[in-house]
Amino acid sequence: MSEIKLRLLLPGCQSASIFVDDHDSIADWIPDILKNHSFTESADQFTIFRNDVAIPTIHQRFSEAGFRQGDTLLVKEISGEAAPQQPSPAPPVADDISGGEVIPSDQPMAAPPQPATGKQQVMSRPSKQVRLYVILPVIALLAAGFCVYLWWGRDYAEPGPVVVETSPAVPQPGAEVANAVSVQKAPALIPVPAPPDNATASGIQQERPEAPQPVAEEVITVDDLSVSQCLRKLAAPGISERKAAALKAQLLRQFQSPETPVIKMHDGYPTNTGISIGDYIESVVLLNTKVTIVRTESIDSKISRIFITEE
Amino acid sequence: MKTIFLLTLFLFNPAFSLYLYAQDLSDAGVEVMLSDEEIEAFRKQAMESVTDLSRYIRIIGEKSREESSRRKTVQLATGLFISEDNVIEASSLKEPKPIPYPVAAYFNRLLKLRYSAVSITWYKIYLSNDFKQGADGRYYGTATIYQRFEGRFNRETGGYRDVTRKKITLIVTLVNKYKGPNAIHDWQLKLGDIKVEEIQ
Repeated sequence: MSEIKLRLLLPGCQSASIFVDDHDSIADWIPDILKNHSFTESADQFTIFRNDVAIPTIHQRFSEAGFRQGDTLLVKEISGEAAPQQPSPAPPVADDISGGEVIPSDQPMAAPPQPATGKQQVMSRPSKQVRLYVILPVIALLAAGFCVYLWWGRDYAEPGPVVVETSPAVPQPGAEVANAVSVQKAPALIPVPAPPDNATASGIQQERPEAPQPVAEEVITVDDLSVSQCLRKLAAPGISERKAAALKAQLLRQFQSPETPVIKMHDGYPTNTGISIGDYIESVVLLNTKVTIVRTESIDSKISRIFITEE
Repeated sequence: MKTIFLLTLFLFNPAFSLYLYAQDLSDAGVEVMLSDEEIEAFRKQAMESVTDLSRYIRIIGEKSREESSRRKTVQLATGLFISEDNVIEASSLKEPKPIPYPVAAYFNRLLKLRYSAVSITWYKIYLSNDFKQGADGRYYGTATIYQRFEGRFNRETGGYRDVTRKKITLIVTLVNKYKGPNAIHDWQLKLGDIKVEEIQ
């Protein structure tokens, strides 16, 4: 997935990242975010995947992430394939924060604007890639080295660890003693539990604390849920935020856009309230509204209008 | 002179404006009057919208909720109004003269109330004035609600409580949207200003 990364750094705070794969629209909504919102407070890093997440939803995510109206925010870096004309990375943040000023993403920050020639597009982009090309092999080498070290350590370690690891299923007399010895003789091996025969670096990595998983990767099988099933699940009281986010994303995929109108019906007559499906979903979650779908209209197999009644 | 006067009076008559508006839309093949059945449907929708607003306001005031959820609710509540320029009046027993706040400002004030617990309940919600078409072609109605507000600091210092009767303007307006070359005409129900009628 080609992606754009917009890193928003805040005074003395953490960063927020947005990943989108819809390049055409990013220029539209990022300036809007910066114009309509200024932020100062930080939150944990949050990431938005996929272009089917609505712009209002993105605004909302900012809000959910703890940003507040009137806060200030500084765009430190915009990079990625779709942002070749963006200025080069800004100088260190500490020097740039001038108290509450919002710097729109389409204005140069430190370097003067450069004409967007094809060559420069190529040049402005690779810095990240080069870093990746360097960092990834190094990480791979380190991991491989670590595995080899473990493997050799296993074969050539002093009797303590060997006794414990080679016969984990059959406790040997004096195993405890052997363990105690191993603490002294091979301290580096002690924290690593006896690896299975097919142990790899990835097996070891699994023991590290799990990094927060983006919503899009959550294992929730919602692909085959219909619109009404999704709405019903979203209306269930106490639904978890992650599950709700996955369901929302699944639901929105079935609509032309998050702005698709929702039309409420009373006695067979439409009573439009001008609410969009994006907002309506939020409302359903908040108010636990039970929804019945009367009918839908579609264009290119995506819903362009939905008529509903509420219980 | 008399003719000019009469002509001017005629041209600026609201009924004439409505006639011109209706004429434009009829020429475009759009129905500019709501049928009785449609009005009845909008009466029901009006009650739903006001009830939704009351639930949103209750959530916005709830200190026990996560702030992100309350802020999201502000956004949804604001979307019920025809414009962000609409005002919501607020008053108190100490300050009985209603103070108008723009919609978003009012909700943001609710978010930041300095009580440790806030409870806002709307009850006796009813359509006090039925929908009638105005000179601008829109339909206007009014809903009346009673609001019980209760803010508590803590057990020692107590809090504040009042009951307010408020009047909500309801607007059904014809919205023209353009999807490619085609215009779509939709009647939409939105909320207008909310005014304080009485406080106890």
